[in-house]
Amino acid sequence: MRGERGLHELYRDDPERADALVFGRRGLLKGAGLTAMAAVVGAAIPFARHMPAGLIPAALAEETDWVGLLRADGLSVLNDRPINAETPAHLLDDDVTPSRLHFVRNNGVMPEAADAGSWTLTIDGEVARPTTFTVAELRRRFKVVEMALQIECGGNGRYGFDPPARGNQWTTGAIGNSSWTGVRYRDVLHAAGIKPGAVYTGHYSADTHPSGDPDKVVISRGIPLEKAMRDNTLIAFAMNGQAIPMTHGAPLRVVSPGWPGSTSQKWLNRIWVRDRVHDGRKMTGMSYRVPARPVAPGADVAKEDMAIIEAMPVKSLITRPKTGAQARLGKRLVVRGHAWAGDRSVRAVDITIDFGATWRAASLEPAPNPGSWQTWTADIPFPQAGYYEVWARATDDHGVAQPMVVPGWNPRGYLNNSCHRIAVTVT
Amino acid sequence: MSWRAAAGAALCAGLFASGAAASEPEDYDGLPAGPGQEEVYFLCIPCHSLAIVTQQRLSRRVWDEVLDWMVEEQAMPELEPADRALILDYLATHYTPDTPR
Repeated sequence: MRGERGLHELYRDDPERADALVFGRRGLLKGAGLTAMAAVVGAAIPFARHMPAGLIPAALAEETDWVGLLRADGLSVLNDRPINAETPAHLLDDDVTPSRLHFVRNNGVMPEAADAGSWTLTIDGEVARPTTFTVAELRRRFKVVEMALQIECGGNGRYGFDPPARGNQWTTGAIGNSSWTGVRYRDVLHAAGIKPGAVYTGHYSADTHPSGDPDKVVISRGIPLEKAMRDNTLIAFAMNGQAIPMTHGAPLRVVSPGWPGSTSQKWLNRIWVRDRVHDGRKMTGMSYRVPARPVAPGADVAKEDMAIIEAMPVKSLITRPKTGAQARLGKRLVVRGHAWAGDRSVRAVDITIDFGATWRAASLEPAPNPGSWQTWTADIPFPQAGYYEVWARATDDHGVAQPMVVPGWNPRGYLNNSCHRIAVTVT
Repeated sequence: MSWRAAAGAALCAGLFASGAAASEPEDYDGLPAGPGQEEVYFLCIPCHSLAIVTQQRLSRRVWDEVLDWMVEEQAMPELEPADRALILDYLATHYTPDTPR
C-alpha cells in the first residue's frame, strides 16, 4: 500500500529488523505475502536461518511492491503471484491509457532487474546475419516511431463463459491503449536479413518460471512474418513517453496491436525467426487457441481441432459514466467510451437503452493511427424515470458487429467480445 | 538453485511425508475447510498464490486435466495416487461450475 513503509525501504534502512519482522513474527506482511512467507518459513526454517540479513526474498519483493501499487491505482488484482490485474471500465476513460492504469498479465516472475543500458536483443534463426542489439543501438539505427496501440488479453471477458473456462477470470478490463515508442519490428528483422524460408517469429524474454526452475521457459509466443512486417508492429522501449515500467515489460517489449496480448512479449531479449509456425511454450496445445469449428458449451475439444488466435474481434467499452450512475429526467446523459477491432477499424458504435429494441448512433472519432482504439460519445435522453441499462455495440469496417450475448464457447475462454453495459437510474 | 526454488522443493518433498510441519497459514488464502485443504494449500503456494485456484469454477473432468497439465507443463511434482485423489476431490467439491462466485 502507498503510504505504508515498504519492504524495500525497511530492508534498506534496517535489514536485521526487517528480517526479524519477516521471519520472526507476523505482522509486517499482509495477505498473500504473509501466507506465502509463512508457508515457506514453516517448512524450510533452515533456509531462513542461513539467509544473509538484508536479502529481500525475490518473491516478496515482487508481491509487496507491485501488487500494492496496482491496488492503490484502482486496478482489480485477480492474482498476486504471478501478477494479473485488470482495470475497471470507468478508469479506462482516457484516450491514451496512463501506464498505471494499463492491465498487467504476467505468466511468470518478473526479472529482478531490467537495465536498459546493458539489455540486449538477439535476432537469430532464419536470418542471414544473426545480430545482437543494445537498446541504444535500436534507437540509433532505426526510425523511432510513437503511436497509440491497443493491447488486449486474449482471455479478456473469460468470466462470461458458461460453463466457466479455466484461467484468470478477466471481466472487461484486460485492455489498454497506451502510447508506445519504439522501432518497427520489420526494420530490425530486415537489418538481420530475412531468409526466404522465414514464416513466423518466436519471442523469448527474461521473466522466470513460477516454479523457480531457471531452465523452464515461461511463455514463448510469436507472430506470422506478415504481422511482423506491418507499420504498427513495434519493438518498444517507451510507454507514454517514459521508460517502460517493469510491470509492462521493461526495458524492451513487442507491441503487436489487435492480437492476443501474449503476442506482445514483455522483457524481450530474443526473436527467433522460424521456418515453421513457432512451437514455443503456449503456442501449442490449448493455449491462445480456439476450436477451428464451433463447439457446444462444455465440449471436450481435441488439441488437433484447435487453431491459433490471430486478430481479435470488434469490441467496445463504456468508460463514462461509471455503472450505477444517476441521471436527471429531462437532461441528456453524456456517455463515452472506446471501440477497437483487431487489425480492422471501427465503422460505427450504436447505443441502446431498451435492451436492443432500438439503437441510436454514437459519434465516433477516427483512430489517431491504425492499431489505436477509437473514442465514441453519445448523449442520451431518457423517456421517463426508472432503471435503465445503456449498452454499446461496435461494428467494424467489414460490417461485423459485437454480439449482445456471449459468443462461441471455447475451452479456454477466449474472445468474449459481447457488448458492455452499464446501469443508470433516472430520477 | 534459487532461494525460491529451494524452498519450493523442500516444501514439495516434505509435504506428504511429514504432514507439513509448517506454522499454520492465516486462512489458507481463503480455501474452505475440509479434507484436502492443507494439502491443496501447500501443494500450490510455493509457485503461485491460491487466487488462481479460488477463481475457478470447473467440472471434475477439467480439474483432472488441470492437475495433469500442472505436472506436464508447469513443473508440479507428480503426486502419489492417494494424494492426487484427495486433492482432486477437494477441488471438484469446492470449486464446481455451480459454486457461487
